[in-house]
Amino acid sequence: MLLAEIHGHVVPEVQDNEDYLSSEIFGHLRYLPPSIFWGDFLSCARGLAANGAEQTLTDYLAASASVRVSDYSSLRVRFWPRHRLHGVPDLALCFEGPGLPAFVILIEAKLWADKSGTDGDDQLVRYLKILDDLAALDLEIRNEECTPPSAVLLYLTPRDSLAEIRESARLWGTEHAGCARVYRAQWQDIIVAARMQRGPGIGISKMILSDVSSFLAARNLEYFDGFRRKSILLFTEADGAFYHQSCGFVGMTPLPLPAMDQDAGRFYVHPGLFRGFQRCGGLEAFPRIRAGWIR
Amino acid sequence: MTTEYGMRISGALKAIVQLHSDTSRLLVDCDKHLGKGRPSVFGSYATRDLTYHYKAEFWMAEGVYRYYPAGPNAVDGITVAFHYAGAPSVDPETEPLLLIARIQYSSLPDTTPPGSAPVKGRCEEWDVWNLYFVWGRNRQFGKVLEYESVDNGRISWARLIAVPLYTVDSIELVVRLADEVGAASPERSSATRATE
Repeated sequence: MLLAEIHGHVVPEVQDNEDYLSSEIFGHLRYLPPSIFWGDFLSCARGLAANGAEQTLTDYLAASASVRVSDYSSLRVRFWPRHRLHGVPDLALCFEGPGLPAFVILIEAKLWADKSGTDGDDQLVRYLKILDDLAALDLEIRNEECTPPSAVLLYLTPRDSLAEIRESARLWGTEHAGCARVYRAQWQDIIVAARMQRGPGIGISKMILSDVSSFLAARNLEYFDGFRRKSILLFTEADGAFYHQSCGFVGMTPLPLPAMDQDAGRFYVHPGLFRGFQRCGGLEAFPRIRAGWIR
Repeated sequence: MTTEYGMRISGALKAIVQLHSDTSRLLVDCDKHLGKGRPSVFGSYATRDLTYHYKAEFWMAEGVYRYYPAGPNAVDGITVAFHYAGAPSVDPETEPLLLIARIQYSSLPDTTPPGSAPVKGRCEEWDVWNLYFVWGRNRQFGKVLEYESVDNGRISWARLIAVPLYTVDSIELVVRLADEVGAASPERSSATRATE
């Protein structure tokens, strides 16, 4: 349906469905190799500030495993991996390569809803716990026992989510130990990263990124870059009036009636028995006007 | 069967839809660049006073807003003013405007935690709008306007800058305007200093 929406065939029922959005976007992005797009996208993902500076996800990977995303040779995407205790994040991205520790990114994607759960049931806190029990997700990571994978949680939203992550950090306790592994990004960052891809080697990936970007832009999930202008003609204040409004009551319309004395309206002339209606002379014919006192 | 005039009206309406769509993107981005983690004072609501009645002059938002707490009894507010139906002494030819303000309300016992939304009822949704269109006389563009003791003293002071909306071509410009307003404010709250 991604292509249908790009071409204006919008299905209203799925416009607010975040699972539909996740599957459309990542269902296409999963065909991109680690060397294209992913490094630039993960550079847009930011963690909580430590020592006054926010770390990007690529910084984290370089610091924790001394690798870059583009060093990996394969990417597998698992949708809605289930953990028996802590719930179901939306995605698991598994980057792998020969001689490299695997890198797993759990993604929780939102569209218009906030994170679910409060206090001990906070959604981000629960998914952080999954990072320490990846085996339960059965991601089929090669050599997992020999070289434990690096793992982080990425919170993907259409708006800035710093306040939500800070709230989760307070619940988790020590930010650096726990929420140091939580990163935030926006759907809009996908367009930013997609537009950074250049060069002859990207091939079919270019089409994938173009389609994904067009889809997100059509959904207005694009960062503000000024007001777009459409061609319109000049209008005056009077334009747009198609219904000539009633001016309201403007007074009684006089009808051509002759002068009459007090007997002219009498219809019952004689006392006693009724002997018929007396006709009053001098009345001229006048036009009948239907409901004619408000024009 | 179509009419030429109807097509022109259709084009005008599409332009308004585009304007609203772009304004929405602007407000969303303001959360990151101006809000910086501060919760919105009015949640996800961006406008009010829309009529649902069948008898109406129009069915369209006159403006939208977003406010962030800026310390005890203070807010940073952004308002996009689209239309000026009924606004007194406003030139009806005025184009849509972006208004950015810092507002300090007069003190009341404040029991809300720092960084949270101000005491309910102090900040009113159209405060930035009213500062520019109703309570102030100066309508200059691009210059920080100053207000003191406004609305029967409910507002102690305010600083505001107004620019035509179609001069706004980036979020960076909005950030610069907000910085100008902040720099011109008599005092900067501790909550704001903590987020910068």
